[in-house]
Amino acid sequence: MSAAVELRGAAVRLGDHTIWSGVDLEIARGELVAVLGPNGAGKSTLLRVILGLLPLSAGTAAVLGAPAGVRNHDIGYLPQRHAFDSSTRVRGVDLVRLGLDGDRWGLPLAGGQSRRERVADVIRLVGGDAYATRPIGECSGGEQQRLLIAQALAAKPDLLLLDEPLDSLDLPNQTAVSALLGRLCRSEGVAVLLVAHDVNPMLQELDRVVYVAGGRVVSGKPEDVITSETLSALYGVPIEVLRTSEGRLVVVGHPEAPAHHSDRHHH
Amino acid sequence: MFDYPFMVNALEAGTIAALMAAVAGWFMVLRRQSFAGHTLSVMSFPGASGAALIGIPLVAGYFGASTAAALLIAAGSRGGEGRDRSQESAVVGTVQVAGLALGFLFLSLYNGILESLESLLFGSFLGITADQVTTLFWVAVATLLFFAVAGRPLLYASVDPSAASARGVPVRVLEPAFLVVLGLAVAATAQITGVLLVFALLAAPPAAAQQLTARIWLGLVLSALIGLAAVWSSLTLAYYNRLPGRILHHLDRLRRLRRGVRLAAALLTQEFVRNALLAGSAIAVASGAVGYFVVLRAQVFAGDALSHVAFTGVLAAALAGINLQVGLFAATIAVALLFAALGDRLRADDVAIGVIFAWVLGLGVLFLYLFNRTSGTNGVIASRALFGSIFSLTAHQTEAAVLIAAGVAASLAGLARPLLYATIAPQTAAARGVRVGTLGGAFLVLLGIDAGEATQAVGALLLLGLIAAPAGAAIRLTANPMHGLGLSVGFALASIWGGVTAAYLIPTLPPSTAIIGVAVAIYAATFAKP
Repeated sequence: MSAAVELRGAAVRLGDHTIWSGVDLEIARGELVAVLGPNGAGKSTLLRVILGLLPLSAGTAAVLGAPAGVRNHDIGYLPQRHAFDSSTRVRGVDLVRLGLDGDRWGLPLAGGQSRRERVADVIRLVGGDAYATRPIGECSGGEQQRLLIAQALAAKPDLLLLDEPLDSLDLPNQTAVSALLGRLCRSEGVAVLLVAHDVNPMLQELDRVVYVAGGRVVSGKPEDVITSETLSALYGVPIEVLRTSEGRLVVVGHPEAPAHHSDRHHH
Repeated sequence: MFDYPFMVNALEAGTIAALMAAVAGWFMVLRRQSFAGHTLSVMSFPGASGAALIGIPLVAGYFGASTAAALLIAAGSRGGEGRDRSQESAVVGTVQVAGLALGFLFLSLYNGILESLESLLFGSFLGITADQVTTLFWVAVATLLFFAVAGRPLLYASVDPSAASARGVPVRVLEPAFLVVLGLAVAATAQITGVLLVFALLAAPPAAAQQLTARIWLGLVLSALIGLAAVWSSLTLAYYNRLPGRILHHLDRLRRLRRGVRLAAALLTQEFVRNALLAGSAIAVASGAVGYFVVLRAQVFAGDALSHVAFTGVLAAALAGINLQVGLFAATIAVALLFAALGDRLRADDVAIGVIFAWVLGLGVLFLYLFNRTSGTNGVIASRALFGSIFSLTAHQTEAAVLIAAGVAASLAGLARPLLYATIAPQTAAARGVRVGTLGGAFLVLLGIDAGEATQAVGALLLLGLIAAPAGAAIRLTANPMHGLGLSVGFALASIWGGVTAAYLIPTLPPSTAIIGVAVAIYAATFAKP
């Protein structure tokens, strides 16, 4: 079976600015991979390349055995969080259903038995039964996030691309969503690639991390990549990685270290 | 040209208005409240016609109506935290059409001749009195004083309402206060540029200034300079070309217009009512369905702009001597395509819409003026284009209306699901292969066709009510898309049926007013829901 994602010598250029280059990356099916790195390093860019929304300036990108963009039907995508306007008067269940059939012409009808069941299944999977029929604008941030994940899952994707799915969730919700994603990888063989601010809530579930910084991309097991040596080399300044007694990783020595920055989003 | 007092008055008034509008408009553009600004300007119409009806000074009507509308908009769009933008869009649209419908009612109730109707709608720059200049001056002083005192907290509240609120800025007081001041500025300016064109002075200079610079003071100064340049150059041009600052001031033309309205009412025979109901029902189905997405996508302002474009289309066709319906649909579809081409840069309250539509309306005024010179029958055409004439549809027009409405409804049924996806979660939909941009464009074209269609029933000034109010009510009542679509269509049908029946029974009640009255009443009733 082909790899979920395969980048060879890939580079992206926006205007005159090279975001990253010389990237070789392979993600197998059923793997849970976190993309880490400072703000503006090109993490979301990586997801957009995999979706075929952004052309490479060099190298190749194969996704689910085809060039990027061809098999988007089999990809579930969760863009960087946007809160729904409080007056968005459409139910969560409608949003989830659109993840299943929103790209087909016609009226937004509930559909047949099998489609209804699929929608109910994914809502149950994310634990959203209690609020799925409320207008989505009235759901809390965590509830919206779970419904958005259910929406990304509805069409039974082979690859899930999640841009900061844990952002703006509280700690219990972060742990619950991480566990849900880990379960999906193991039980349904879905490859999950997620952009994260903080690796700690999901350290248990991760197979691998991809670190994007300084125009380069390094991947490997968390304990191999998040080390003083690798990060110092990536950033070009001395960086120290500490491990607390509970196993949390703390990165010190860089203003935008991954375990620290909660600087971008004020909700 | 300074030898003529009327020219001096015009220059003075234009200068004051340009300065005031530049500052008020700068905040309006920053706050993306162009639509609210436009609506406040339109309020002068019911204000003045209402004042004429009950016999109080017109100026009192102007300012009273715009202040009342500002307070209504502020109250209706108040969300949990500060203002609620998509809510505001529907509220503003409804306030606007309610005001216009009332204005039309007052106008037809008023038995004397409201001499200033056309100058009210389209301005009479060269007919300004010294008294008006004085009033304008004091309003400008008051407005600028408000911005001098409250400018900084207002800026903070506009850019980051939650942070401003946390720092103790009274956001909830400032927001309605800004709307009231904007209303006053707009009402004062509308006496000079006309209700329908005030927007050009209010939106275009600040929008251009904000494109050029992100600095606040430079932006305000540039905005003022651009406004002044526009006023001075157009006045000079108008003076030397004898083109209309004061375009329409012909009493006999006005009498014809009123006779046309009466004629339509006098011809209430069963067949006309049947045509009205049949065409009206088809229009209601199409407008209710299109309107659902208009409100969901917060594109009420675009709908408003397209409806005004219909007026220009009709007059252009009348001038060129071609079929009016051809002109109507050509104009609305062309502008819809233009909006679609602007694509992402066009959001709910976007200034681009306002600038385009002020410009197109300006063209409409020019066509009206040119047509007025070459023909004597424009009164009825202009009146129909502005206020609709559902009782004068012929059997042939009815048939065309039904076919077009069926086409719009069928196309929308085909687009509905991906359009809903693209509306709620555009990025995800795009990743799934939904052509979000193309769909948005296709929807705008459908909206354009629907606007042209509905113009025939309720007129260019009121059709927003048929598009926004039933859908706004439906969306307030249910979050289920299919139920919402159904309810929206149902409310639109109820508005047409109720309105046509009421207008039939009460001969002094214009059908457009009755239709919009029912639609607005339904929308208002949903606010009573706990």
